[in-house]
Amino acid sequence: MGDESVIRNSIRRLRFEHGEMTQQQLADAAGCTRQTIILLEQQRYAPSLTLAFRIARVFGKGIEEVFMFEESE
Amino acid sequence: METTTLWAILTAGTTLLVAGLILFYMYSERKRNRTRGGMTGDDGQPVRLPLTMLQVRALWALGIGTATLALIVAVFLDRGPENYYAQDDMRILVYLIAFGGAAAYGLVHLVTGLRSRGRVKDERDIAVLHWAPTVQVTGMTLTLAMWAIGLTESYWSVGQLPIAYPILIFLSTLIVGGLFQALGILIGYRKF
Repeated sequence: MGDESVIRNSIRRLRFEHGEMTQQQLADAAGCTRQTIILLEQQRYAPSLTLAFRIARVFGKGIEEVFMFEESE
Repeated sequence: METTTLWAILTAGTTLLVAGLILFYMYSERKRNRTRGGMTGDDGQPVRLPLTMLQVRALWALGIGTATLALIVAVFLDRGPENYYAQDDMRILVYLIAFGGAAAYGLVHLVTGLRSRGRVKDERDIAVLHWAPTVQVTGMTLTLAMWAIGLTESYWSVGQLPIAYPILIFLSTLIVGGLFQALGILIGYRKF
């Protein structure tokens, strides 16, 4: 139960909507590595709540506008 | 065949096998980062996953640690462990190799630290660092088990161990600890 749940995000779209921000710029602003941003965009990594808030803050959005929790049926 | 010779062959064989496996792992890790499926950059084109500072250090540590360990084993196979305290030049050579390896890694640490100045360690790095000791402890335990079994089998009939062994056990455990911490870091980035 819950093992198949995923956290999706719209980081890639939001980066392009914010002046085509690069992955490195976002990583620097959010305080993480570019590798983490790449993995997040590929939905291969679920961030901590702290990092999720930091990324949302970079885009000036609420956390649920950036990250979506999808529970398996 | 003498028991000591048998254990010398076994030790050399194990070292070569471990060194080979580590080199293969280093190669596959570099290749994986180059070709990891589905990774795309800002332009949507396939991208080589950039190595974090910790991964770079871990790859260097694997290379330097393997070379150091292989060189020390080679010296002991060439001269024989019983000569460790009898031959001053052998002892100096072993210390030079061990401290040379440590100095080389210190240099790598310094250069990678300077290059990535201002770049943060993020939560994945920290999770990986917290997980790596699991692999490190396994490696060190296996090393100690090998020493314990090997020495017991070799010197059972004599009833005592040559004085050279305690320092060798310490040196090898120290080097293997570094090697397996590096392995733990590289495996950790696959896990997290």
